[in-house]
Amino acid sequence: MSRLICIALMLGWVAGASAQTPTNPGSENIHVQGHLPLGAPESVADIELEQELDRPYAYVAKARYRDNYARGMDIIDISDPARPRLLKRWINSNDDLNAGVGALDIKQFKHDGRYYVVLSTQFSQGPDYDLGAVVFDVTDLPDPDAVVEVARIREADMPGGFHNIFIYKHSDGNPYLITTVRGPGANVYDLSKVVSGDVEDALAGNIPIPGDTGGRRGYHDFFASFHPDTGEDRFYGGGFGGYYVYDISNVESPELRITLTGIPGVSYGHTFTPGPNGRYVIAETEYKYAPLRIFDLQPALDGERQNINYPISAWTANWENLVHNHEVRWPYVFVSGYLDGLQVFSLEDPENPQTIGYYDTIINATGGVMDGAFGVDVRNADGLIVISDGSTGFWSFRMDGFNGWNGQDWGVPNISSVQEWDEESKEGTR
Amino acid sequence: MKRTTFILAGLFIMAFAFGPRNGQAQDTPWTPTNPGSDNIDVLGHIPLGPRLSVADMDLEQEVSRPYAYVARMHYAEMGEKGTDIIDLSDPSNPKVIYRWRIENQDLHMRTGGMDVKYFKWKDRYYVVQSLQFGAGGPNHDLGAVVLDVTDLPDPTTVREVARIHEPETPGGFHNIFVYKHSSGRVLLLSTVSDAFANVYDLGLVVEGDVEKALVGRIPTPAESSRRGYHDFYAGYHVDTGTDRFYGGGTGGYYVYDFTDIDNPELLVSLTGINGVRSGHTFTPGPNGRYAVAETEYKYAPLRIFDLQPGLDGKVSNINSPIAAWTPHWEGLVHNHEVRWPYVFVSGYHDGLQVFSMEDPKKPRTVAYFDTFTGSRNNGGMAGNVANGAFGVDVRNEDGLIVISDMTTGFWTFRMEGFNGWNGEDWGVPNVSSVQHWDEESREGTR
Repeated sequence: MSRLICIALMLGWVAGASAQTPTNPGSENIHVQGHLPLGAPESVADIELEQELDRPYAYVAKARYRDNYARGMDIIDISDPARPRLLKRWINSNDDLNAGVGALDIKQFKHDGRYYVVLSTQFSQGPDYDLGAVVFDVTDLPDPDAVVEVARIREADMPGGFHNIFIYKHSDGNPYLITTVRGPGANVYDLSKVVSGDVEDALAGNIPIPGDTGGRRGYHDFFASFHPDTGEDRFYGGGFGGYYVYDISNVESPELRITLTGIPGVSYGHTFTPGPNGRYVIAETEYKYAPLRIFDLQPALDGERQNINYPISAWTANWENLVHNHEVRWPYVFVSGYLDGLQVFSLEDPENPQTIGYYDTIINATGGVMDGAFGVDVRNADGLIVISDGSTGFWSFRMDGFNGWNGQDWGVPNISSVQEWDEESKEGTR
Repeated sequence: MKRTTFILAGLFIMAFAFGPRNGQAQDTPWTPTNPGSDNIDVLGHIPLGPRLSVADMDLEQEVSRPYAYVARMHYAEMGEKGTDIIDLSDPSNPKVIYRWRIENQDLHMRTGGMDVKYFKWKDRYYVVQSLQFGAGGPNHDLGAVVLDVTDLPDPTTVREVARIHEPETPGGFHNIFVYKHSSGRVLLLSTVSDAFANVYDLGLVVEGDVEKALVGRIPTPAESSRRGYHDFYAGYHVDTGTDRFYGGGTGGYYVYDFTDIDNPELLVSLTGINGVRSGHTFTPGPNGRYAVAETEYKYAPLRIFDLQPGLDGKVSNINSPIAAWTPHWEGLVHNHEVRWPYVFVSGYHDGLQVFSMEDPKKPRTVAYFDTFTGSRNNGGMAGNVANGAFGVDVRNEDGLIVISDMTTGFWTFRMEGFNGWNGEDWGVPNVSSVQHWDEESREGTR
């Protein structure tokens, strides 16, 4: 009952709020905690937030979309959320010798009691043309000098780097790094091998794209999660032709479960994120005027069909723009909305998504439709929301009535992008 | 007054029948009880039949010939296949005066009538009704029927003068356009189930030489397509003195010079556009620089393209719009008639819409009237789009606006301050979908 009241209040607040303006950039239920500029316009890419409150660190990928910015990673201390502080700026060696966007995606993981960060890299030429990711040990933060580079993942046969990455704690207990590649499908690396020095043997599998006969079709972005109803580990990928769901319980032999192709307006899928029980998914396509589309996978989960080609609804902050990444904390979806900043909508009724909060992090964009809020993350323990804005840097927020997230409080599995690092494996329940 | 009461009562009933789901807010300026902007006046309305049985329409341009032609189809549960002829000599009291129907209705498969256009040839007036019939019944290869309507309003004088069959590309014509070519010929452009558009000489058709009437084909660069084009427009390009074809279809949109009908020449392509796998309706403004492009799926706005870089030869392909317009991003709009700077739109669930391209980079809605009012969850195509306003036309002589609504029928409107259109009044060529039938040819000026 209190949840319903909370949602009703949020809807009421937003309904009563005016659209974002330079002098009134946010809805009344969104409160800025802190803001830290991180450099020149369009030099900031994706973001990852550690989930443990006693490790108050955010990691931001630094890219080069224009001019001659240094590319690498910023580590931000948010122990005082109102005063985020740049703790360390890591710049790739020989930065000037490498051409290309640099670093786009970033993820953290924990293994054997130590904490690591994986920074994806993309270089179009230069000494690191084949470099896909750099792995850091960040266990001993906040001491910046204790951050140690422990591995580099290279793909000499498919140079060009990794555009997006995702780290998944598999039901077999291993942390796997899933990466885009300049080649077919998505690669899967066993991070336990990577950090123990066995990078050469770390490639554990490849998740294909159906219909790829030329070996060139790839993914753009993905998500992986445990599917309680079937006991399977599932991969949700957007890429050539649309979106695909695979069973990756055996990472060496992924099995296709569902396709979403032939969708009007979608020739190439981008970000693709399911809700906690894997029924509803949010799908992005990366072009101006494209809304986020909401699909119901139930007909496919029930075996009535394998392909789904029509959304049940859609959501956009502003139809003339485009929104980017999203983090699902059911029923809320937290969105890095490019020119529309932070946006939050509710999927309480999946057929009628409703905006419930917003804050414009970029008032005067100087870039194109992809300037502004690039990455978003949410700390489940206390509901802290962070945004990495391509031009204005790092932001932290709180939303009234959202003090954390655990799926069980909402009657759904406690599944989100947040991984249970200390869980040994799910084999006992499979 | 009685008619107004009737209209409001009808809208009220439709609001109940197809209204938003419980708790779903109406998030448009138009509502069931206030369906139009203050500058739009409904003149007349006439229901034509069951839901999803009304398709496109065409309006004669001479005020002394007050006739509208409406294509009739079987798109859902029921519907007769043919053409309705409406007399709007009293625009507030439109009347159906003639119904042409394909014979043996039940034997004919699929939709039937879809697009309809009229033309004038040697002082006689004709209507071309495009037809689409499926395999398994008669006339699978029939693309169009041509009616002589010269002696309207006497309905007994309407007679069928020709049928255009295409046995090599059966399936009929989905869309058609009739163009008065600069050579003086009146040409029918038609979609076919192949990677090109057919071009017929309508003079030959009505004079009994249908067999020789196919005089050209306009290809699509995407040659493997089953139906190359979906829709098109042709207009004289004053700056270059050429006849130009603007087609939407597989891969995007294409502009051809078809002054020489035998040798159409590709001028500009618009492909690789994000969100556009297959183009639909594609309509340029009077001077051919700005074009309005539709894609037929839910959430797609109309995209506005500036063709100038292509026309100047700086690029051969254009892949990014300069702007877009939609009355409601969750919907889809359909056909459009450009009367620069206005664009009159049949907006499916959003009814009649009018926007201005005074600043092409910032199109702005200037008027609307919701002819449908029902729920967005009630439509004939995937995603429940395709219901409501299907076709739109404008009479240049006096600014009369007409809509054919798939469910609610035929509507006439006036927009305040719009009493007709001649491009020269706006400093642009007097070029629109309206043809100058009595102009012999432009050859003297070329």
